[in-house]
Amino acid sequence: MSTNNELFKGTLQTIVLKLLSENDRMYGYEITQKVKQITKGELMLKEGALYPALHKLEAEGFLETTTEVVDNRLRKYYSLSRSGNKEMVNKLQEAKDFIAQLQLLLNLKPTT
Amino acid sequence: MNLSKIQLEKIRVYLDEIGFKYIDVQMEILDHIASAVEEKMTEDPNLAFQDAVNQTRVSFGKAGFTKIEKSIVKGLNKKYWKLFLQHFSSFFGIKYIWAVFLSAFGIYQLQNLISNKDNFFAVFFLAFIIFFAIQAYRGFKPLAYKRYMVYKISGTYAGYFGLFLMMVFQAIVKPSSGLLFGLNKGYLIVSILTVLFAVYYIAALKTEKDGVLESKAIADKLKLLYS
Repeated sequence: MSTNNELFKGTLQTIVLKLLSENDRMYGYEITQKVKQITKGELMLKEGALYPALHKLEAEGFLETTTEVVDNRLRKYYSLSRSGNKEMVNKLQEAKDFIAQLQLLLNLKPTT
Repeated sequence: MNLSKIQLEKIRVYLDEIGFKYIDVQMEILDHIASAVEEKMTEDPNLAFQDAVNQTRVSFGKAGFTKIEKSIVKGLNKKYWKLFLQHFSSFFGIKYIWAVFLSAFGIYQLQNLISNKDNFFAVFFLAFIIFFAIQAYRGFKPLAYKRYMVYKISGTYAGYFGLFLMMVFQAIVKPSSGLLFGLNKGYLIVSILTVLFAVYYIAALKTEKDGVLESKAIADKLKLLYS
């Protein structure tokens, strides 16, 4: 059964920031595939959700972009800016705290 | 497998035909489609190029491409508004604040010196004509980057100059009477508005320049692609 994508919409920016902190730079399609690969296809990051998140993070100065010629076309790469790195740490902590509260609220046992 | 230049051009033409004409918008959507198509064709070597494109198009959904374009526009608007505010507010920092005050003082003194409203208006009108000549020249310049969304958005701020000029005109034609902090209120308002207009206009031009540089960076890469 695949996870309800609605549940992870609120953490999309955190996911993007985290992925970019682990990879020097990534392009849009690569991010969708990375999410698919890590979650073994359980979570599908749709283009219509990814790009607005990327462009919002870029506009806020959390992401830097470069354009390069790859395989006969132009490709836009995203990477974390210095402020993006700080934002990633904050957002990750927020997500961890939220999950801890959810576990308390829903009486879930943390996975070990 | 990698798509050929002809196949990539077919995707680009398709995007162009359905209304995605800005190069920087096309660039991002095209790379995403091409990457997806390449993967589909690698997974299934028997899959025809056009079928792979159709499958990818369907996965984007009805409003898929439009949503991406809208998010690009929204992101650029936000980014360039922030840049415009940065340029505008930089004139009120330690580096330039003296020049702003000095200019306002100079305009105030000029009005005092001329002392006749009509004569000052003539001087202002002359400056206005020169300004419009510069604007017209800028307009006639070949718009090498007109197909870049980033250029279009970064250039929008310079378009509001008419509103500012109207305010200055209004202040000159119908000056406020009386004193403010011991200074002629009418002269003071005209001085402040004129300086604010100049600061706004320079900030708008600097923002546009940022847009030109960003467009140029993409255009240079594009040249590499077709050279």
